[in-house]
Amino acid sequence: MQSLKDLKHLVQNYLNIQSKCYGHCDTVASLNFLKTRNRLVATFSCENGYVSRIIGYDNKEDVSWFKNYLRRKLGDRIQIDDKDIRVATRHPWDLGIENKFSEDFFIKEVYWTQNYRKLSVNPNALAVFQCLKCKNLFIQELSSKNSLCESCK
Amino acid sequence: MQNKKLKAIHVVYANWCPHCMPTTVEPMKKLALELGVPCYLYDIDTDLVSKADELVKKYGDWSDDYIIPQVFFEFEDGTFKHVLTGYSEGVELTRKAVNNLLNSELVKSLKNK
Ligand SMILES: [Zn+2]
Ligand SMILES: [Zn+2]
Repeated sequence: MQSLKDLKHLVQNYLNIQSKCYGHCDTVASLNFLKTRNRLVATFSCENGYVSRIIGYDNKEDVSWFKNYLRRKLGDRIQIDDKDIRVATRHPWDLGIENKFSEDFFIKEVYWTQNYRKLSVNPNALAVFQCLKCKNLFIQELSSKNSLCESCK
Repeated sequence: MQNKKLKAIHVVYANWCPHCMPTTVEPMKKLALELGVPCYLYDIDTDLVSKADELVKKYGDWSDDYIIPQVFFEFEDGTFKHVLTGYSEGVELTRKAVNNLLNSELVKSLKNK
């Protein structure tokens, strides 16, 4: 079992990428860790705060913890659809860290994807954003141009 | 690193997916050729989807709408090993992972069999 610090280090170094915001705008989405006790969770959010993914990282597969976490964190205004939750195993040979870890080491990623195309069908849809200032998640209309949570406005 | 002899490479993929085509499928076909084993491709938009689902459910990263590509090594003793799943973070990471796999000790050890 990795310590959270070591796991975070691996994620920062090997699972960190800047990519185009997923459907919402033309800015870049990047990795931001969320404050979570005893677990490692991060978002990919764009320069306007839209969250395209929330990802849980662990050394075991724990989808039910992740789903409960999302429900607790996002409340019932955001629907967590099973089809938007996916898992992936990262091995030493595909991460390029065979020299540091044994063959049976792995990182499990659980992704929740906030599907912009699906949401945007409803003009009043609510979506998850990440405050550009305090990095907390907040919910507002998908079409909103605001990027700050209530406390940071 | 791998004592067993490789029998085949299996790739679950879709033609429309940039993580699959050509990023993963082409290098896996080439690797199979180099190792002298067949490369079985399971396009999830064809009838092969049931076989693809079975592989992913048994050995891979299963969820309702699972991530593609997923690559599996089958060994002569009948065992399967999940070796790679596409990186939803971005195609660049999938490409890097495929390259890492090709240059890995795991693959090198299979070449020496
Ligand atoms: Zn955006
Ligand atoms: Zn804030």
